[in-house]
Amino acid sequence: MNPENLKGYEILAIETPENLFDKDKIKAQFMKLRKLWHPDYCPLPESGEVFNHIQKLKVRADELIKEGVWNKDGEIEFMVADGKSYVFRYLMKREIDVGVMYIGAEKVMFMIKQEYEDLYKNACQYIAYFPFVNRKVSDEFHKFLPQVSFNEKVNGDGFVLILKKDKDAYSLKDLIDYHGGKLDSKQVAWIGSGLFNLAAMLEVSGMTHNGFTSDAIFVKPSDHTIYLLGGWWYSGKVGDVLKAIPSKMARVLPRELYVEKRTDSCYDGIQIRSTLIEALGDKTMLGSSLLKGSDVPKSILSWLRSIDTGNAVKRYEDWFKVLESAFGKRKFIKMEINSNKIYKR
Amino acid sequence: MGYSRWKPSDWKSHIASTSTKKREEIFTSNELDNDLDPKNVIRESRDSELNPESTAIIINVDVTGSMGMLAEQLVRKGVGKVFEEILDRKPVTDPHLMITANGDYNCDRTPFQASQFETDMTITNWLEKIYLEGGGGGNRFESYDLPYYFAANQTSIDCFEKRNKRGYLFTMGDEPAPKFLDRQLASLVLGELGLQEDIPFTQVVDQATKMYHCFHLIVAEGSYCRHNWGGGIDEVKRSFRDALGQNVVVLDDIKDLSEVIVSLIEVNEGADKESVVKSWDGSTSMTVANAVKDIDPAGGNYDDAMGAIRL
Repeated sequence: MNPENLKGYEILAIETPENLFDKDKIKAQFMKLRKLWHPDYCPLPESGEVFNHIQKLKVRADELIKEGVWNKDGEIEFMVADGKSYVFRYLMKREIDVGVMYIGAEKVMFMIKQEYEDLYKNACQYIAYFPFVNRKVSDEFHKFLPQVSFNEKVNGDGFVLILKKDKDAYSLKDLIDYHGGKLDSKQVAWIGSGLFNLAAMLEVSGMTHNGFTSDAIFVKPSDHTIYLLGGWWYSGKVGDVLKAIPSKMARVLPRELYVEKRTDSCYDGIQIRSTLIEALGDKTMLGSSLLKGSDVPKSILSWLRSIDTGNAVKRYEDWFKVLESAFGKRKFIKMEINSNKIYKR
Repeated sequence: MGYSRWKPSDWKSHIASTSTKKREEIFTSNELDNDLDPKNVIRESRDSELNPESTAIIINVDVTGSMGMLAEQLVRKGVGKVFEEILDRKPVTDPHLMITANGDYNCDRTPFQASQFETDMTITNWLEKIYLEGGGGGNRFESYDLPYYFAANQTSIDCFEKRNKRGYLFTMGDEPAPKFLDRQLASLVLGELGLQEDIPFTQVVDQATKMYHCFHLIVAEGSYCRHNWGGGIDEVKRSFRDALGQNVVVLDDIKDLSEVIVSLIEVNEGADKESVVKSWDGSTSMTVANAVKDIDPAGGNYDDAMGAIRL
């Protein structure tokens, strides 16, 4: 694309500098565009507006170069503190609380803002050294937790954290979006089972995750594996000071959390229940919109909406009782999905 | 529910027809009316062409002992005043009003009743159907947990679900709050709750607070407060403040019930406290001033902005 050939309205529609300039030709392209659209030379009525927009994009382009981040059409180029540049190819980009998440075929990259340095370090610490209670638990659960592929300070501001991902695992948020904002309750059932199992493991290990949001959870429909890749910036040992919580959980977490500011495994339970309600189609995460006219079994909905009293192991057991009362004996539920369907729409 | 609109002329006719009636002539039910039975029901407040931006408002009255005067106040003057002042002052849009009534599930036959959400005079029909049991026991609390649990678990409201805006829940009475929601007794009233254990009152209120701005009005004229049984009004305040904080207010005069409710909504939505107080005449302004003095604006909407929330 040659930016000189763009119409005024096309330039005005561009929101990020990467979509106007080539990284290596920013200055030259800007000078040409400046001449073309300067109101003193250009007779078109929109010239002033277009000219100002080009100026703004140039300023932002300079900032991005300084920050060492350049993001274009499915790939992002970034530079780390020692000056080395890397390119990450992604299928989906999503803004998250602490920055931006890029979902690649077999990796997930988080670009974390400088202001969350403490949370980034927190994540790195617990991902690298998760305190499994014993070898048996470690053997069973380590595959569901993230493995770091790369983490560095970015040249400029912020941090990059790249985690390995199974190629057939998708962010739960993407899966919900793909299905029009709601998953069938039988699909939510197995996702819930995996999540409550993970929460029980966390509690047994004396840990809390505190970030069970739909963009932190990755699911693999082909074998019902649940991966907890994101959100580790909020994690801590049970009883630790809680530094931060995900923005979308502000409405569902209890008021005592804001007073005591300590981690508690019941908060993981509340977040999982809320995320499952979101997966069932209620964006408020409280479930009241599903009370009437939804096909979610009443026993499941009322259990998910009930007050969580803690004890993750009992919660996990109760979840199975609720599922059995709603659907009968446990069986494998298929979901016909693949990466092309989700990410190449 | 909520597909029509309030008409002042209908309200005037209603006042004329009830002004000469005694309380027992207005409230004729001597048992729970089936339409008010809260067991296994969902009450809905929905936007409509006439009320495109509905705001769900629940007013819960205590109907134990002498507290039947609250329902009487609402039916004679209260609901009309609430509707008219909200429509006039517009602290919130398109009010949808639901009336609920609590007794005591430890001893009453009818511990809880719930109308539909209404936008017009129909609400008075619901009010008049309420059974004023006049029960309650000597256990030093009433079942104020039921309206909170009901609001959180058995209502579905568009203001919250479509616009992220919380509704309003006002409870009122003269006795202390219960410490726990008794899951077995509450299940008999509301239907199977699926709870594993009794739930602290603070948690029940916390759950309701996700969808509603919640306030409790302590009726200073009530027997428990006046006669200083137990800890009197201070005990009542303490019992609710753990759960509701500043949103526990004293209602000095029940004749000003509606004005206090409207003023609490105004101040909560950000109106200037002094202006709100001055907007009422005479003794009403004093009652309102006392009620709103500790209230700070809460804002109506959840913030959808991204960014980790620091604690």
